[in-house]
Amino acid sequence: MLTRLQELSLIARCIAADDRQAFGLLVEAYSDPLRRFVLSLTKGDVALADDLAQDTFLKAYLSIRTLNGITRFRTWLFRIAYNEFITHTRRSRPAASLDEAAQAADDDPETGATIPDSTLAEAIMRLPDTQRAIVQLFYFEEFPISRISTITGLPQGTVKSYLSRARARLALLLEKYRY
Amino acid sequence: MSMKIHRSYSSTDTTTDRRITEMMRHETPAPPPDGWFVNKVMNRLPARRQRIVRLPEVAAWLVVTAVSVYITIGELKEVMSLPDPTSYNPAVMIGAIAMAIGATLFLSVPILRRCLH
Repeated sequence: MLTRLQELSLIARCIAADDRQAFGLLVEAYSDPLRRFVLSLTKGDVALADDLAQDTFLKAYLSIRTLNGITRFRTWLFRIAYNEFITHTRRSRPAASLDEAAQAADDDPETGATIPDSTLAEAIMRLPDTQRAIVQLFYFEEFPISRISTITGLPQGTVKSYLSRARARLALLLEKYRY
Repeated sequence: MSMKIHRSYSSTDTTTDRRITEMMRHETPAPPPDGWFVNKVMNRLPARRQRIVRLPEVAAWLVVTAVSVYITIGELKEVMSLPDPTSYNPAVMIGAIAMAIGATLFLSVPILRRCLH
């Protein structure tokens, strides 16, 4: 993991001199967490996850000049990845809005019960896209609520609400299988 | 790896959070290692934009033109100082002017080509 100073130095080299070696180092540093996050969003579709991760880095390279000093590069990168995923999902599922689908899944108390989850990974895969992203960001990538709010573009209250619902569902599973 | 459960927004959920984090670290599938991932990204970056005017070329043109102007002025002074200007051999002056024109063409042709591309 890069320190804040190293990260800023590499970003400055990219902006000032179009230094591709510096950008390569940023890709190397962040490719693993980003690929893991996108893989979780795509429910294990490795090919799609790699495509989205590559698109994310490409977009990051093209718009690195718009990155302000306050936003951490990692947060900004994850936000691009999340938006790429949303765009891809909307393109492949134009009829249903993501939020509607998430809301429908959340409102249906049977969602978790009809198909029993045998592992936590399966339970997470069955969460609606937004909840799954939030769970991954909070528990695995250890982002605070404020940054998750920045990444997903949702208000902090909504993030907390989604996280609470996901936690309740996962806690049930933990109890059921005595993890 | 250390777990920062203090991030939780409710202290009552800490135990559940810790267990979920532990389970996620244990069960979440990791992406398959791809040693070529960085190269794939780097290969997809757009080509560097070519600068229309390059500094070394302009610097060389400036040097050649300055030398040509210096020689031409020197030769003109010599012509003026001659009692019979018709006896002056203009070869050096013509050479200097030709050098300046040649340098300008040498610089402008690639610039025009880059502009057209």
